[in-house]
Amino acid sequence: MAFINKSAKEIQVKVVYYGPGRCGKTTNLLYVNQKMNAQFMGKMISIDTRGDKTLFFDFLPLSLGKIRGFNIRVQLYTVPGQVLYNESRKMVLKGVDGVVFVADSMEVQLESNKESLQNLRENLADDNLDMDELPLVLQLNKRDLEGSVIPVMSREAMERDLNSILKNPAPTVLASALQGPGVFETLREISKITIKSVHHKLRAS
Amino acid sequence: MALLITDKLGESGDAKTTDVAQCEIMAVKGLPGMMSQDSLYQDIFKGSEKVEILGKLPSLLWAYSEASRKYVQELTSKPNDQPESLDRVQKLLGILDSAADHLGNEDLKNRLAQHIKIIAQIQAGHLRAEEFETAFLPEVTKMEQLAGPRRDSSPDALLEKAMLDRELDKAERIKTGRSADIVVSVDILEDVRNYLSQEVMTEGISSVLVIDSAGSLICNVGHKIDLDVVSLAAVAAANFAATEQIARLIGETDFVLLFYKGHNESFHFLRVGAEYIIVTIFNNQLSLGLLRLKIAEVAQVLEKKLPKREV
Ligand SMILES: Nc1nc2c(ncn2[C@@H]2O[C@H](COP(=O)(O)OP(=O)(O)O)[C@@H](O)[C@H]2O)c(=O)[nH]1
Ligand SMILES: [Mg+2]
Repeated sequence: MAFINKSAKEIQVKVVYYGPGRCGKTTNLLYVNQKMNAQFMGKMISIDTRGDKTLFFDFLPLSLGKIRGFNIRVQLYTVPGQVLYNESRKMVLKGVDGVVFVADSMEVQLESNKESLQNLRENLADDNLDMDELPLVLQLNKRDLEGSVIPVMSREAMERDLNSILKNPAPTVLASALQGPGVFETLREISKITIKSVHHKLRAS
Repeated sequence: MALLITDKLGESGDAKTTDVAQCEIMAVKGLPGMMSQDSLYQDIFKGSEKVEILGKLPSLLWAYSEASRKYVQELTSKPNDQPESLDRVQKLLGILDSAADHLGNEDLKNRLAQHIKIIAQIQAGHLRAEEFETAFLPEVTKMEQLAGPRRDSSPDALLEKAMLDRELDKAERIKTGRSADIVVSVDILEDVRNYLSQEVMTEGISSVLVIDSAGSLICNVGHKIDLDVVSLAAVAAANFAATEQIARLIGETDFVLLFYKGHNESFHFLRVGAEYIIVTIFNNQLSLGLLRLKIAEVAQVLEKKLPKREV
């Protein structure tokens, strides 16, 4: 549900970073907040348990410049990952235009990733949204653990697992939110496809 | 922040009781008749700590190798001084040992046990510095191999660097089983519950909940909400935290009290100390002034009864 202001020539879209607890959603936003030019960014707000676990959401408003004369504003949100916070997750998802699904590449998180993606589908359906129609990017995070003593899933295995829950395969980005690689690539990709889909709807209506 | 219920207060501070799940089950079993709802008093972040420490393992291994090399160097260059880096080496050894447990990596565990032994030997003066160096340095190299490629030296790793020290602290808490920040014993719980149902539940009040600021339900008396009480606690805490952010945006530190008026029933939220929130549901026949006085008093009583944050 993008907000389009035709007279001010502005499009506002809402992008939600979704995924199991501790997969690195907040770290993605922290990295963007740290690296992006302050001029294009509003204040980052985290509603968490004292700078630690996300209790409600993190929020970071960005301006991504102009496309076809429209100012593009993107609002990034994260959800709390723990199972307990499903109601809060649903609240954050309201009116979402695009989702970055952050999957944890650690092998021990195989099931949590799948459960979380399934949970996303259900929560979207509760709001009458169809996950298969929604712009979605898969971010395979914590790739920095590759080559270490921690077992990490291969890109192929993860894509196979996660795409089996989706109707159409989603674009994938390998990332290490803690160190930076892939964070902006993810943001660019999700912004691109979200804005495209908003334009599409705009033209259809 | 997590909530932990133990059988007896004080036990969870003990480094031995790392099995949080075990403690909780004991606590719930200890009191039949409190079952269903009380089994919800669990560490709501269970499992997430394991994820946390595993993700940090390579950085921890690199930190360990760095500290170890410094330790060796201190031993050989200033043989008569107590090496400054020993403390960090030992701290990291402890953390790595618990990470190896989580990972189920026996090889790593055995190696670390070996390191502890050999460090004890040199500290006790049973080894010469050169002997120690020859035995220990290949081990350090092995740790670096386990850590995998080192990426935190790139300028892009700012965030990681900034976080490592904080993470070390956190990892140590996880290691000692002290990561659960609030420990409530079953005795205290029952005391609070009795107090609430005998002294507080009166005409007009249909439910009183005590939750912590992370949204774990500590205690629920009354009949208003049964099924959704866990969601209510989580959402109420989120709501409270969100209003605190609003307060900060307008330059207040927080709102101490929140009040929502419904058509038939209303909600009243009051902070107790730094950790807890009392949520009261009451009908609109009851005057708000009266309720506020009453709950303010309850807050004072509960602040004495409920434990403070552990760590
Ligand atoms: N090794 C590694 N750890 C990460 C990465 N991204 C996040 N983390 C760590 O994972 C933990 C959870 O991250 P956080 O962003 O709070 O997860 P969230 O629950 O999804 O918001 C923190 O300790 C992060 O430092 C990554 O790319 N690699
Ligand atoms: Mg988070």
